[in-house]
Amino acid sequence: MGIAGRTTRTTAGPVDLAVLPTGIQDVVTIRGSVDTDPGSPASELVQDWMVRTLDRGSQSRDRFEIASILENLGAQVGFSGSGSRIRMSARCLRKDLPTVVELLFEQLCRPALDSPELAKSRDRLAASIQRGIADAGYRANVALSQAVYNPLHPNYIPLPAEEDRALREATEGDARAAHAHLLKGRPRLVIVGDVDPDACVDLVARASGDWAGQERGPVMPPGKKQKPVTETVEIADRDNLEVRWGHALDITRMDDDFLPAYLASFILGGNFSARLMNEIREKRGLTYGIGSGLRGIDSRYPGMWRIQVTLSQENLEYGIDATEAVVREFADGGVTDEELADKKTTLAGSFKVRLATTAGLAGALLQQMEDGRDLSWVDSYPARVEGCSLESVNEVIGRRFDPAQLSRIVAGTLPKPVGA
Amino acid sequence: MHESFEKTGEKAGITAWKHRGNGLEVLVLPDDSAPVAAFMVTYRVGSRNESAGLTGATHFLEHLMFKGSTHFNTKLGTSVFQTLQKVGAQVNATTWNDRTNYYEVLPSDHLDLAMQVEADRMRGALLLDEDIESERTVILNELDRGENEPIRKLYQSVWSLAYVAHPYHHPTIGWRHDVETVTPDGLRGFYNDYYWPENATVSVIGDTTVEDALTRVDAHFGGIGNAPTPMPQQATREPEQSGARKLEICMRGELGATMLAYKSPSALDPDADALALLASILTRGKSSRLYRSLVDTGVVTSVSAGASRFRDPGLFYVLAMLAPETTHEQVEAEVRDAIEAIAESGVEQSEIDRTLASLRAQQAYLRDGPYAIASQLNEAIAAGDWQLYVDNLERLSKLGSEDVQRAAQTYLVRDRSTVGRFVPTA
Repeated sequence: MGIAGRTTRTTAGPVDLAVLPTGIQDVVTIRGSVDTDPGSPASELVQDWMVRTLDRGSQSRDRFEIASILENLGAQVGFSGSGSRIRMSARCLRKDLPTVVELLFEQLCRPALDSPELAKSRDRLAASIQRGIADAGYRANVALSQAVYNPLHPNYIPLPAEEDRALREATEGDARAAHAHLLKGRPRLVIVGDVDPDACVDLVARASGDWAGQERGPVMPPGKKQKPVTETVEIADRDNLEVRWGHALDITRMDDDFLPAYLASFILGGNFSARLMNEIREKRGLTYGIGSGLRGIDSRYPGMWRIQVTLSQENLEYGIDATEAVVREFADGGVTDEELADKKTTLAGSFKVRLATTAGLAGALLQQMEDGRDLSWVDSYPARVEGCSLESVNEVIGRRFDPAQLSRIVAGTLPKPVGA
Repeated sequence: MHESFEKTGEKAGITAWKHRGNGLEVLVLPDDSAPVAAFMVTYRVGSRNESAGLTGATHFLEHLMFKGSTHFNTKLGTSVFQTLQKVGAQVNATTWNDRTNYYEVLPSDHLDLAMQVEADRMRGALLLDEDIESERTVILNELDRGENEPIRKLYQSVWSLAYVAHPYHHPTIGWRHDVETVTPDGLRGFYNDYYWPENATVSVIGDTTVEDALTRVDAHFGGIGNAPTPMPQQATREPEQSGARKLEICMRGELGATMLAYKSPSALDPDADALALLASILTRGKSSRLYRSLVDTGVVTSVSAGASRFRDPGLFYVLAMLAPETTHEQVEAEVRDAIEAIAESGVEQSEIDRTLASLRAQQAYLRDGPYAIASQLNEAIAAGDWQLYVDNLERLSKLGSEDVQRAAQTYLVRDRSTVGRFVPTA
């Protein structure tokens, strides 16, 4: 029986719930999410601020009381925000599941969000933004997001100074409004491990109480930027330079082109035996790390095709040229039958490896729920990968991947020109 | 059980074996909850075994082990990554002070393939001149990446100042000049000194049986002979430190950090357990002492503590990331006060109980997939006894407040301290 056949999917109170018992003893892993629509980078920042305060006490228990309960059980509960989605995760022993589910929903639905804790969370977030200023990798990602996306795209990242200003201008009322907005979405939850599905349904229904959120639709995709840019972000004392290339890819995870595009970018730079690693690291020794992939593509909005490499000053120019040559060859000539066959078996095998942990299983199930698909989609993944033909992959490369449209960002300390 | 092996131990489902022919140690933990297995070779060689001019050699060799061996190489179209990633394996290797490990997590029907690759490169690494030169620039780029990170530089600089004679002084990746100049013969010599079955432990975890795992290991590794000469031993002892040491790292950045470190005992010393417990009580979770006094109050944005579990004496440390208006002096004083309070009054039993509860849960979580246990075993093997991983909870359970207090009084003293500051520049 496949994974879907062993999973109970049901509605528990307001929650779209999936429960999968596995052979592991004692251990339970929880993953979940709620869709949101922040609508702007500033609102997304406020959402992040609010999410960072969820574990700072509820309306009925203070932060230390909650921490003490969880730590005495060795349990973990966490929340994070990313774009237009808020995620929850937890891990605990079987006997502690009722307590952990109760605390997860208590913090998520009825957080204190009081002034002192909001102030501390704001300071910590501000410090985190400040630390990013001198981080070459982060700054390269920021600049690329701005080159590829319009400011209202969920993947657009403002400059650190703009984020800092937006955070200072935001009010506590804004943070509480972001929480009210969160409660208008419908939560989904996956519980995997040493569990009894019927008991989980009762637990979740009871803990989620009167949450009355609704499914959210796609995010309206804002138009992509039309002209590629070449930009340098100069940062002192960073002799390893981070280089990024990217262009918008107008597909979502729901698009038929997604899987062929994923396979194509994986053949180019998805692992150690992919083309970029083979040509730029193995054969020429120019870099420690290089790769390509689809980034920021969701079921609700499109993202980008990205290539990244890290280069020392003395290899900057040669490394960029060599990488661009490999990318051009990929776009012009497509991939070979042998490459496709190799990567198909890679993905089939790594799929098995990923599903060997409760976290891997929970992540795979949650992904299908976020995409709005039946859980059988998990089981059919190897067959769908196998079904991608060489023609379909190369046709998508020709239609979707265009080196002439790539923006290029270099971040770090540029090599000094050689004097006369 | 298999005649080529002598059973040397058994604990928590793990059985330990020694190959009668070549001394290879084998650990097996069967778990058929998923059709996946982890295979790992841990060589008991790390940057601890390097001498001047050869710093970084262990790490350099780790890279070269992927450049080709007799039967697995690019010319044959069978490079390590091509061969193993084709079947979906997670493949990698890491180098640390006391060990180098190579591992594969893969569908269990390909377990044989992982063993073939590892056995082939145990004595058959090609180590070609041209591969060494091409990999040298890869490693220099890796080194540059590390130099970009102020906190990594701070951590390494504190170790280098705390240890002036013992090889823990130098970074595992090596000093830049050594990486630039180490010769192919120097690297081959290092390989021929340490890459032998009697200096390795292989771990097989996951969808296998003990008999099956031993049969396969014997088939692939049983024919490998022993080193022709005795293995070089690391003999340098660190001289006693008799005064506080201080350093600053100044580079572009926004917010400072501080690291307070104290000389600590080796991994198998019972006092190392008390220091591990003390580190947890100081910074593990929101209920911990320094979280409450430093993070919750906004003085720092994060704080962590740890007690190294290395083969030779190491460091107990507290690392704090400063908030914008906070000074290094302020944080260092707070950390010293917290340590002094424990040295004077010990800790509460509830603090010990909380740490133990967390560790008990962690033990269960480690059974989730084969790699988690492999990585824990790896560090215990490197420290000198694989059973350290199994016994850890039991050892900590025997400790009381007086043990933690005595460890604080004995080890966390000013004269054996090293304090490093990251001072950001504009």
